[in-house]
Amino acid sequence: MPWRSGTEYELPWARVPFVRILIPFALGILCSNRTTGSLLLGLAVLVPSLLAMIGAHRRAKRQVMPAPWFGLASLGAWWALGFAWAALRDDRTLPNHFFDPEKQYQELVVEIHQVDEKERYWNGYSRTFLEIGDSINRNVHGNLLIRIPKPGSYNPSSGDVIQARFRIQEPFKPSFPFEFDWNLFLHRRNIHHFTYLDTADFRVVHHPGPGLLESLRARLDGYIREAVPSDRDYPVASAMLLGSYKKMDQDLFNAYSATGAVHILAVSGLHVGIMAHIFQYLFGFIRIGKKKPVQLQALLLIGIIWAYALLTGAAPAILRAALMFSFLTVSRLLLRDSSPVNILAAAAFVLLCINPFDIYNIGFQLSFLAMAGLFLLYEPFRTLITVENRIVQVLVKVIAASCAAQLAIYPVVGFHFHQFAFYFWLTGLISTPFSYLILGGGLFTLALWPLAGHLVPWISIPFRYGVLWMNETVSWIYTLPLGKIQGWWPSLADTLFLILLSGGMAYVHFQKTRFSFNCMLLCGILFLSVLILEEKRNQTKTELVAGTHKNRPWLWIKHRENAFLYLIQDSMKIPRSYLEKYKLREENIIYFHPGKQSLLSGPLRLEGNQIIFGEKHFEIALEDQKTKSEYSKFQPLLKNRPAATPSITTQKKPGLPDLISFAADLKDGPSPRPVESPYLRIRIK
Amino acid sequence: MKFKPFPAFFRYTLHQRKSQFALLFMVFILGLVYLYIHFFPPQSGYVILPLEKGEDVNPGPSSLESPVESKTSVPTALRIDPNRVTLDLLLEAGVPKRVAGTWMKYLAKGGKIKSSQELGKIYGMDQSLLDKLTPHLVFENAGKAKGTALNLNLSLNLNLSLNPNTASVRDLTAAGLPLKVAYTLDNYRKKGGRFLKPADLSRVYGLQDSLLQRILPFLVFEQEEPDANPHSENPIADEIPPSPETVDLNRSDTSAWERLPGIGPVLARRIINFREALGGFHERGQLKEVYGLPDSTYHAIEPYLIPSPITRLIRVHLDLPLKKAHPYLSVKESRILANYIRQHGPFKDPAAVIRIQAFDSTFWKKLLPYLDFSTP
Repeated sequence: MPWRSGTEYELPWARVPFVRILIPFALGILCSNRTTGSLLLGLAVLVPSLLAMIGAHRRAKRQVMPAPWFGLASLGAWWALGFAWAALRDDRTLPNHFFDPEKQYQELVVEIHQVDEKERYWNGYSRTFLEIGDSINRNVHGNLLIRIPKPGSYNPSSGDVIQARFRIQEPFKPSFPFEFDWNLFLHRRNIHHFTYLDTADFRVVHHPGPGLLESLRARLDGYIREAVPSDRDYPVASAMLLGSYKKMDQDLFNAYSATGAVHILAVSGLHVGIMAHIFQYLFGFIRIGKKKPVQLQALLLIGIIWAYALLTGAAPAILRAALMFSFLTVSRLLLRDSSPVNILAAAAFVLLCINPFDIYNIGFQLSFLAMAGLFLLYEPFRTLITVENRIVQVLVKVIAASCAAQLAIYPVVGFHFHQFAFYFWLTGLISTPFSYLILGGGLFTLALWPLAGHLVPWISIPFRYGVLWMNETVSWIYTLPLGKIQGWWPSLADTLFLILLSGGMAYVHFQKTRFSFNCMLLCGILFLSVLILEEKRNQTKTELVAGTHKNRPWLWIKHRENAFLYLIQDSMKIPRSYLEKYKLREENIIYFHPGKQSLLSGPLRLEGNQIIFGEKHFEIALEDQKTKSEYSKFQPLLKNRPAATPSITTQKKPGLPDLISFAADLKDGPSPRPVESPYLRIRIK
Repeated sequence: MKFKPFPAFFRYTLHQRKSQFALLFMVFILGLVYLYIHFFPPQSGYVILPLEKGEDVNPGPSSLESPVESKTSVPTALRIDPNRVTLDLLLEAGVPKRVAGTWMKYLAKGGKIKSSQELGKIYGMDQSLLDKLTPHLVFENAGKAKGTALNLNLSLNLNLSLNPNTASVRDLTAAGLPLKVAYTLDNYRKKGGRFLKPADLSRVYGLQDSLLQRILPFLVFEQEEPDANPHSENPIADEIPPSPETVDLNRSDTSAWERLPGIGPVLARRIINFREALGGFHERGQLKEVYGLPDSTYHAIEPYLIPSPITRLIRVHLDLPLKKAHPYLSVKESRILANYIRQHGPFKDPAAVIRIQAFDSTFWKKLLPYLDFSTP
């Protein structure tokens, strides 16, 4: 690499002002714990920061490169604004939140704004606005997730206003160390309570008909169904064109997921780009007199892209694309030379202003990281290989784009989905031309549908066969060896490190200084060392975890590479992915059922500061603060076992090993553990 | 070599500083707008009445037979157009002030009253007051009522009586229910729903309270049978019609099974498949043989199970040898039985089969309830 030396090189921060705003703003949102205290703290930091900004601004006057005081104050102000904004937007911060912990039942009027259909129920995401009291009604606010059972006489739809008596609950926290944290998932969507709808005790106050967009979407979906009659291909066609998610063939979905092509099924920047390209070409024929009306074309394009974004459900990915497209188009109209990175940051900033909790949305994260990767890492990959042949050049460019995007997103994909698609580069080669064919063919088909009559099967050929061939190609790639690498469980620290590493690569490429390279290398080595030591420490420690899962108590002991999981009673399914993560071996999963032969290797008991498990003696690591606090809850559970019959068996059988009594305590006994930790975790030496 | 990435991050030109302030101001305005919408939300315009508690839904036919005398009386000559009435007119008509005020607010928000029954929407309007006002009501477009309005045939057919658990869609619509509501009610019944008391009808989507009040006097509910002992020795004699809380071993479908604790769609399907293969369960304990049904789940659902007769028997003298295996009798075993019958003649009584030494007592214990020994 040709290093720069002997010259001063400064990053062009002036060209990316929104990046300088977005970084502290996003950090502020992430740091906020979204309480009234956070709001006040944010405001307490914001006000002096603003005053400092004003003071620095006046002092700087017209200096070309003033002292960085303004920048420091600005950093603080934007961080505080993000911090306070997240707190302000949290449901529970402002007064008149609907939840009243004193009442067992609350009669509320809610508006369902989104319905998510599952196999046995619907999830109705709703906003409360009125509480019916005994003598007086009051205006309330807050998000509530309503679970509506199937089958029932009520099918919810978006826009419904219902009145019912609800028993409000908080979402369940995981009772298992590796269980999906539904509470956190909803919390990040600003939903803190849920309830079940009792269909015997509710009323539909208002049921609007389908809106214009919904009717149009349903009609277009009907056309797609006719144009693509195959049950296997139709869900893909509908998802790509309209963003509507139908139940797909599971094998086909697995193929898309494993090959890294699942982003094609979600309407996002790729679709917006293709749409814009197609319409730009079509609008190129518009003339007013002899001139091309550039402004009119630009406005029409922006209008069409936004209409498409709203028609397809306005997911964060497509909103990002629509915003970026709008900003880029307007900047070109105004003859401003805008950095694409700045436009990307501006789009992120706008979306976070509208809904700060989008930062936790996986679609938001992947969409923006992929674009950032494309902007920052495409050049380094593209310039790795130089060829003369034009066709090979195109192939190199497409693969470079795939690599750039993948390098930015693979840590997040690993964190959320625990897998890596090895053939992403191959999928990238085929997805773009097929997407053009499908989207172009689909637009053509839908536009001509009302006029085509009997010609419909013919005009829809490119569309129909485009979907079919893409499905077949993706399915073929899925059959290749090493198609999907699974069982990768990076922690949050690992993920951040890998993202920073990718960013560092771009940084070094643009800086081209040996010093910057050395800095990145040193940081990388230090960080990696810390991670390795932490991983080593985690692997050598022994943990005992006790909890209940679906009302069945269980015990887990992890000792070095071995993990023993004891499940009390029957039929508790452990997902395979969890076996991989915690290196559980099937032979070490032992089910215990009273009445059958005991499969335990020995009883579990507590003696002093030691846990005795069969022939193994484990000393509790009381120097670990968390263990110490958990131990204080753990002890009474073993010592003060109630004499009552454990409810997991119908009668207490004499001679039961201590394990069963201990497990029964967790279920039946007085539980001193707080709600926040439904399971106990003790470190053992 | 000088390298200063970080100081550049904090350095802003004049133009950039001004832009920062402008952006901060815009975000501040956004925050104010959000707070304004929160503290001064737009009014919904819906007329919302408190939910009636289950036991209060049905005032009962007796209340119609002996209406409470209203304290007010309406002047005989008064004509009231409910959509154009004034507050003074309402007060003159004897409507209480509070109710009159609510009525005015309802009209002010764009509410329309198309029939006298819809007046019941007004909060505070009780039956007696409505009865007093009804003869004086004048509707501008009385002849243009939409199809979803209550069919006024109800008022002419005073001898009508309906059992909501058995009435056909035709009967329900003849009684005045809109067709859509009648179908919804019918679908609810098909999925196992039952109406044991008037409050249960509020579960039917589209059946508004006002409509329910109108048809309530004509509804007949079945008397609840005394609870039969589900552990009865003679389950056939003590047959209990399956309710959502109990499940008939041999007649209930998957949706009924799924209502039991611990039974999901997969287990329900397995139970049904096993039952069909067997020809019916002759005792509850056979459920333990269903693949994947945990012992704990069986004990949990056992109290809800109602035994009933087996639906299909193996005719020993006609069906053997079997072409398709029965869960308790394989094709090979059926050939052994068929050969025995061919050699020794038809069985005269069930005890005779036990003599066949090819099979043990456990085999016969399971299979005997499924055998039909009647000679052709």
